[in-house]
Amino acid sequence: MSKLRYAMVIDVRRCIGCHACSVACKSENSVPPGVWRSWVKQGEKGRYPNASVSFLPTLCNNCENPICIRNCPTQATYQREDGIVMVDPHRCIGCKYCIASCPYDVRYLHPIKKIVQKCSWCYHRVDVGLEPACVNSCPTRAMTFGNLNDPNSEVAKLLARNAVAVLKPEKNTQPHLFYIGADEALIRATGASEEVRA
Amino acid sequence: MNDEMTIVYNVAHEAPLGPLIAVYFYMTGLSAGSFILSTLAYGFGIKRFKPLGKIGVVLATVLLVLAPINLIADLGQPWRFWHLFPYLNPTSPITYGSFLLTLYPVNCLIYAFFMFKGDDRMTKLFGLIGIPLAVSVHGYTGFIMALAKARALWNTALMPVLFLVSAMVSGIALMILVVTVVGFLSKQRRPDPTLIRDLGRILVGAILLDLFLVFSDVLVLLTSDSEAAEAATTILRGAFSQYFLGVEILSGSLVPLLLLTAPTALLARFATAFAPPILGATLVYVGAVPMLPLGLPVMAASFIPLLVQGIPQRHRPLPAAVAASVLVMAGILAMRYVVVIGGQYAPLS
Amino acid sequence: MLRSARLTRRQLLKLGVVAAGMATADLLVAKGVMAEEFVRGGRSVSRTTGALRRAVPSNCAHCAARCGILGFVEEDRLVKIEGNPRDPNSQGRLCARGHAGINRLYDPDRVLFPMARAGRRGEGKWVRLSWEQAYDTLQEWLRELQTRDPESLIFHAGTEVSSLLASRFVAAAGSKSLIDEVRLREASRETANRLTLGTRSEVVDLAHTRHILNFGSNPYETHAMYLPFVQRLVDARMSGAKLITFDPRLSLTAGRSDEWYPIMPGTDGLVALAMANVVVQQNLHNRQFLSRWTDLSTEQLAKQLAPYTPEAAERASGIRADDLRRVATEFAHTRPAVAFAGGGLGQQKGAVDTQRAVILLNALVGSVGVSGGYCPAPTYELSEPDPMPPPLPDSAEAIQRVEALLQGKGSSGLYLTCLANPAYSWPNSQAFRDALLDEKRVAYLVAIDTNLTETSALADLVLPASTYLESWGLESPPAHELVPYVALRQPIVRPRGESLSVDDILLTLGTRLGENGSRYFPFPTVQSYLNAVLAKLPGLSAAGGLSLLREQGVWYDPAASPRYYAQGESFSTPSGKLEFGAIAAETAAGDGQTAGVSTSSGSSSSGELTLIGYRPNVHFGDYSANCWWLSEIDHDNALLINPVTAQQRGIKQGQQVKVISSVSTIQVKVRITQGIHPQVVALANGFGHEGVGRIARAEAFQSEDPMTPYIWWTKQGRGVNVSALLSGQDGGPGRGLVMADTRVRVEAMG
Ligand SMILES: Nc1nc2c(c(=O)[nH]1)N[C@H]1C(S)=C(S)[C@@H](COP(=O)(O)OP(=O)(O)OC[C@H]3O[C@@H](n4cnc5c(=O)[nH]c(N)nc54)[C@H](O)[C@@H]3O)O[C@H]1N2
Ligand SMILES: Nc1nc2c(c(=O)[nH]1)N[C@H]1C(S)=C(S)[C@@H](COP(=O)(O)OP(=O)(O)OC[C@H]3O[C@@H](n4cnc5c(=O)[nH]c(N)nc54)[C@H](O)[C@@H]3O)O[C@H]1N2
Ligand code: SF4
Ligand code: SF4
Ligand code: SF4
Ligand code: SF4
Ligand code: SF4
Ligand SMILES: [Mo]
Repeated sequence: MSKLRYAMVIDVRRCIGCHACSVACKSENSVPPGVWRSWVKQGEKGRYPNASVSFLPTLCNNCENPICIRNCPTQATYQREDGIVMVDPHRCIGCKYCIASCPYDVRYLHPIKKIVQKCSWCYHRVDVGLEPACVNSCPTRAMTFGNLNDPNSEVAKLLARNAVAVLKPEKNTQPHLFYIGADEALIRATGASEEVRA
Repeated sequence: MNDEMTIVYNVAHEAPLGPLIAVYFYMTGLSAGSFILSTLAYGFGIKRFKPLGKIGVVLATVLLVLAPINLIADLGQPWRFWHLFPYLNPTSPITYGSFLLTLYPVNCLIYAFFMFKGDDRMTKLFGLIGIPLAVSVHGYTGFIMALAKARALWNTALMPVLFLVSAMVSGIALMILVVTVVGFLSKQRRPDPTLIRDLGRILVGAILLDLFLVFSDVLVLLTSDSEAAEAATTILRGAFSQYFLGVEILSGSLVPLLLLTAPTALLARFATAFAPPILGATLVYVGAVPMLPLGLPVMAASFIPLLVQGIPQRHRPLPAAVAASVLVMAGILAMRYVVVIGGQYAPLS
Repeated sequence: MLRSARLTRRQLLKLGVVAAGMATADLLVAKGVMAEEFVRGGRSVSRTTGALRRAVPSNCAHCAARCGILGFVEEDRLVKIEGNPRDPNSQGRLCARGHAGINRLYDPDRVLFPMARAGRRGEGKWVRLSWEQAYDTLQEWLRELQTRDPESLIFHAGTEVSSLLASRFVAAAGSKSLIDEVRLREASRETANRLTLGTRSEVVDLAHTRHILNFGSNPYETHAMYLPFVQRLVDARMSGAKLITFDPRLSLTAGRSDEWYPIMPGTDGLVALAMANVVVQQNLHNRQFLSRWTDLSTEQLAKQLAPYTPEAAERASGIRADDLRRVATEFAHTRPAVAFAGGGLGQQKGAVDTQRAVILLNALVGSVGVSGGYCPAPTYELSEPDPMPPPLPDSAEAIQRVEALLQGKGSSGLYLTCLANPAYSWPNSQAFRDALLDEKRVAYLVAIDTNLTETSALADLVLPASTYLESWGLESPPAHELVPYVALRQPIVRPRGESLSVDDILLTLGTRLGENGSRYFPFPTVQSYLNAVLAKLPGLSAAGGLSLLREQGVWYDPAASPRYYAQGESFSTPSGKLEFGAIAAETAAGDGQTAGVSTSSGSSSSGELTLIGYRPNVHFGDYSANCWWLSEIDHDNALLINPVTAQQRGIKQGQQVKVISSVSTIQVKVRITQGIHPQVVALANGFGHEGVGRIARAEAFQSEDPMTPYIWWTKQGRGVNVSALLSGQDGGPGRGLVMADTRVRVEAMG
């Protein structure tokens, strides 16, 4: 079996747009007002009475080929063996270049600590065998987390069985966050593009 | 509101790179431009530019000592700036910068030392060493933009060249102003008209090159993917169009071109009289109030040549060149602002 | 055995689940080693030290679902709330509101000691009292009341208050007036269920259904049993069940449904009966089920339903008759199929009968009390320990008393609010505020509350209540696995400041009610009271009683199997069958109101629009506005209006408009949306606070919470209070408070 590679799959068909994931994240990671590790975009389309709504939960893709790491001048941003992209809070100088570089706008400067933070896939939970806080909270189990390279993991099975998309594949960041059933129109409307992978 | 998607919920992100970064880019650009001008005489032996040598190196050094202050002040953790050295990351353009920003001023100092000492051979040596450094110190800021792959407005191979050419443009303009002021303060009590004229000619060339690059950049953006087109729209028609079209292109490039190449002295005089108010009004109109503290003194200075009576016939280009330089400097500052802030305007997600 | 596949797998997982304060060493994996299967909750670790946190099971009070929670505690501070994986309903999950309990507990605007007013009512000047002084004062007022007119005590309990102790207190004090917000607002559904099924609540067995009709509920965002309901709804849809929603507004549920039918408010009854008519006409009804399990006969039905044609329904509701026929036919052809209703019609005039029309639809296709159908909710009857004071009458009397008060025709010797905020949330909230301010109408106003709300800020005496996270409580929520269970609420941390739980306060006050006090309040502590309630559940007592609940949070009989009535057992109605007799008679009488048709809907010649309120998904009730995790997501509201309607009035996107109803006028911005019926406008509940706290008012400020200075939506503002526009009235016996049918004019401003 190949090496451990964490991945997340969000089955948007299951998503109810409840924001539990993002509030769980605020709680778990003490994220201040005005900045987000994760949030749930919501859009409305169609004409009355044929209108509908779509959701797109958004967080760091913990990319395989992360531009944030490439551009960080102090190696404060780094990738763990399991693929999680981290920020060393003692190393970061708060230059914000990584924020400017990330094509997904998922990093922020902590307004009090003045260092950059982002979703860490709750490594502190994952390391002791707990699911990330958002995954753990998601009422409808739209979110799944696990080892991409273990064919028996839930994420691997979901990827094997469904057409999935990643955001902005053309940026060659190789996201580890995959979407099932995401609404292309919402992805486009919020400044991203998607690649469908069967 | 029709078949399009209407966003009902999304979050707004603060632009990570603020005006301090634009000012930082501006100052490194001025520094690089000044340095290169100073080497025209001492590095390349073009004698008539000899007066620029000392002025240039002083400007280059002073600006380059000041510039990184902006950068450090912008850090979330300014006291950790030293992390840039021991923890350097060879793939990060900021890391290149850390070293360039150290080496370049040191070289400037040595270069200046020999110049003031009168050692022409050593001056030439360090002048020539300094040129690639000056090019890099500003070019790397272009790479900072270009390599942050997120932003369509930045992510272009033209960016470093664009930054360099605009650095030259602003550097020449600054030089014209400084030469003018130094000239009035000198024993002759007036600047050397031929020097100003020659600088004015180089400035025209630089502006034309800059305009060509900007034109190519925007054209490619417009015809590239939708994200790029959106970036182009932001500066052409959107929130930053006034800075871009108004301050950078119109008052920062086209009006100066007119001033510098105006066929009749009368037109030049006329245009000169109106240039500062135009600039002031533009700044207020676009709400570029943060730029006023910078712009106002320079603008005021530009009136000096008009106030000085009895400028002989052959000195007529002087006021026009000064006015053009003021406008150019404001234009390039606007360019930095448009690129840095405007580039982050379109939401990524 | 519980039956869903999910639960079975969960039970396996449960082996790895640690409950309250147990083992610390048995974490599954060491750092860096891959976990084959992650633990689904039950544990939490410190982000800084990695140490396992102590877990206290309890339940959430932010909606009626009462999901099981685990409060994780570090050094006596609640640091995280997660779902309790043992809870059979919510299965260890939590919604956004559930997490935000922490915001409430550590709300910087909480009232932390008893206070008496020092200036005029509502002036905002207070003196601090000791609890002893506060109790003495209140005892004095209660005694005064007893000698004059004990019936003029009005006790107004909010959604979080257990009505058991409240009614004991009211009865012991010699009054009949308990306003229980939950019972009041759910009255029509509960009445319909009780009359028809014999139980108060229903459980929709979504996990096993294939076709779902939704009349005016919004399970993607609200629903009284939010999480347990929507989890099973989404599972059903993932396995192919179809969801059809009737709602005047594109709620998130409507927007994700397979079909959305924008319906004129108040016409659901007509639509349901027309569909019933179609089913019977086409002979698609389940005769066997009808004759075995209901009091209906086909012949009688056909006759009674005849006037309810799809065409008539189309005229009132705006939904095309063809669509109604198709939906009805499809509903009857797909098995199992189920129809349910929600708060959207709960507040209509004919809501009881509308609700019964929906139950009728289910009965026609044999879908009541069966797998995949509309089922009487299995719960344990938690009954009050003896001795019991005489039971209180129907709430209609209490509502009439309040209405008289509002109209200046009545008075109250003592108005006691308990975690309720009527000066903000009662229809025509301003009138309520005026009444409370008037010392002639309300002699004494006492508030038990956590915050200075629009109501408690007016009080003569404020008693600081603790939040649900510092309180006790016992519930048996409608069991969505159809095996009844009991859920405990227990203090996760000690009450902040000098605050006390509502139960503590009522038990103490009870003892001060003179003779009745010593008779009906022989409980020295809340725990002793709960023990007395639990003593009536022998199964639980045998399993360990209160101490078992304190450790696990929930209890159910492991040997029990899902309870479907129509698969053997008879219904709890007097006849053991579903009883429609009454509704059939009433609807046959053709009374528009009883059929769920409000008389004014439909016509729009006057240019008036119907205003509906709705609940945004991240907010609960009226007071979550002071929780910044939630208000950050949603902090203001806009009037939803259809583009056609907006254009007729020259209204542009985002513009300010005046909304004029019979009771008030407010100014608000619009959001023009394709997602609303052209004759309807909608405003979200819960915004526009003057009270409750500074976050609710969209202020940024320094406090013990380092985050409050960073509140960033101060410019967007706090929105407006929809209750100011609504007019309400007593719906009649068993019907609670009715407030649909608010007609408004909408005018563009400057
Ligand atoms: N987020 C959140 N969830 C909650 C609560 C909360 O405050 N916030 N409170 C809890 C409580 S106390 C209750 S009672 C439940 C209620 O929960 P639900 O039963 O889901 O009821 P509501 O959210 O009141 O309304 C549901 C929908 O009815 C629509 N509607 C309005 N009028 C009509 C009508 O005449 N006909 C039809 N067909 N639809 C109509 C509204 O647009 C709305 O989308 O929610 C509980 N859950
Ligand atoms: N327009 C409109 N009005 C409605 C409804 C509607 O759909 N539309 N729905 C109705 C329904 S179904 C219901 S159940 C009722 C609910 O109405 P209410 O029972 O009045 O409940 P809430 O409005 O949820 O809040 C009641 C009070 O609880 C207090 N409270 C309790 N604990 C805390 C705490 O820890 N922190 C804070 N800050 N406050 C606390 C607050 O002071 C608040 O004033 O509303 C009804 N009102
Ligand atoms: S999403 Fe952005 S921040 Fe996250 S790993 Fe990729 S590039 Fe880095
Ligand atoms: S802000 Fe911190 S993490 Fe980001 S690039 Fe700068 S040093 Fe690296
Ligand atoms: S994985 Fe953890 S840090 Fe990342 S979004 Fe989810 S809760 Fe937040
Ligand atoms: S918690 Fe799950 S269902 Fe809710 S918004 Fe997030 S992904 Fe969607
Ligand atoms: S559904 Fe209701 S009870 Fe459950 S967590 Fe959400 S607010 Fe609390
Ligand atoms: Mo309710």
